[in-house]
Amino acid sequence: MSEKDNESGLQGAFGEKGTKASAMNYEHPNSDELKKKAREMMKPSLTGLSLWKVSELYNVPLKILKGKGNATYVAEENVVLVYVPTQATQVTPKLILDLCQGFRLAEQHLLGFTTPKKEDDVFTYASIMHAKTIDAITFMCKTVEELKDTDYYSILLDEVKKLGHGMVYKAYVEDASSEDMAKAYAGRQ
Amino acid sequence: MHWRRLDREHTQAVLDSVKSAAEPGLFSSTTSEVQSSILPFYKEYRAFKVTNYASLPSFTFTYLGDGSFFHFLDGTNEPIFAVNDKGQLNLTEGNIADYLAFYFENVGVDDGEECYFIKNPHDMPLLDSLDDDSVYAITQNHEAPIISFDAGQGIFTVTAELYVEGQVNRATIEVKKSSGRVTIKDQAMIWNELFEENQEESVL
Repeated sequence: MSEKDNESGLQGAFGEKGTKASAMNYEHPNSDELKKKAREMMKPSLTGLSLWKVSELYNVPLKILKGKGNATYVAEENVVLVYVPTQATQVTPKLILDLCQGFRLAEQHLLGFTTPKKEDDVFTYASIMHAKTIDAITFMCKTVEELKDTDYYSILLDEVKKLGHGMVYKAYVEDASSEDMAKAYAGRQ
Repeated sequence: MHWRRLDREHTQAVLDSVKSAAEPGLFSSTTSEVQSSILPFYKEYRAFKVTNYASLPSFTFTYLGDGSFFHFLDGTNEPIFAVNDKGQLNLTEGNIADYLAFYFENVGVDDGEECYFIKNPHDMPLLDSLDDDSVYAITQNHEAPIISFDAGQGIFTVTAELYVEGQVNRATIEVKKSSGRVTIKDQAMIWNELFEENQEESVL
C-alpha cells in the first residue's frame, strides 16, 4: 500500500468489517472484580490501604484497561490508568505494583507536586520527572515491604525485580538516604 | 520497526477512529501523537501507535489498521488473527522473524506474560532496563533464528530465543503460512536473570 493510498484511506467511513469509534472498548472485562480483589490484597499494608483511601476520598477514578503498559495518571482527566492482560481473571503481581505507582502519582498531583511544564528547560523537566518516579517507586516498595507477612509477598518481590526495581527495593529496606535511593534508581535506568 | 509520525490531519482521523465512547478523554489531538509503521508481512495493514503525552508517564496504545478500520492490540492474539483472516497475511522466509517479533511483543505467552522474540538482542525493548551483566549474557550467547519451511504442510519452523519474564529460552516455534497461527512446540531455559541475581547475592 502506498503512502498516498493509506492517507486517503484514513478518510473512509466505517463499515461492517471494521470497528466503529464508539464501539472501541478498552476496559478490562473483569475490571470490577480485579479492583475488589486488588484492594483486599493491598489492605494489610497501611501504605497500600492509604493509597486506595486517598483516591476514593478525592474521587480519583481508577480504570483497568486491557493490554500491556505501565500505570499512568492523566491529570487532565484526573484518572489513574492501569493495564491487565485481557485474558487475566486473577490479580497479577504487576497490577498490585502498578496500583501503588498510579495512585501515588495521583496523590502527588493532589499534594501539588505536579507534572513539569513543557516550557521548563530539559534538565528541570527531567529532574522533576525522575523525582516523581522515584517517589512513586518508593511507595510501591513500601507497600510490598508491608505485605511481608502475606503469602503473596515473595511473588510481589519477584515482580519488583522483574520490573528492574530490585536495587531501589534493597535501598529502601536498608533505610538508604535520598541520595542513595536516587543512585539505586539510576543504576537500573 | 520504523515509525513515521502522521501529520495533524491524519492524526485527527486516526484519533476519531480509535476513540471510545466510555473513555472519550483518553486521546486529544493537542496532547497525542500518532505514528505508523509498515509491517512487511501484511499487504495493506500497518501498525499504528497512539501516544498521549499529557499523562505521567505517557501511555501508548497500538493498533493494526488499513486507514479505515482499526483493531486494538489488547494483548490477545484475536486482533492479529482477525487481520490475518482477512487475507492480509503474506508470510515468507524473509519476514517470518519480523512476524514472530511483532506477534510476541503484542501477545505474549500463556496468560499474557511478557515475551520477546529475540531477532537481534540490541533491538530488545527491555534491554535498557537490564544491568550490564545481563545485557552481556544475552548478547554474547545470542544465536540468530534458524528458519525452515515445509511446503507440503505449509508450516514454518523457527528455532530462536524468547525472553520470557526474566529468562531467555531457546524455543522451537511453528507458524502456519496461511493463517499465521503460532505454536510453541518446545522451549528450554538457557539463561535466567533472577538466578543470576540470587547467585550474586549469595556470594555477597
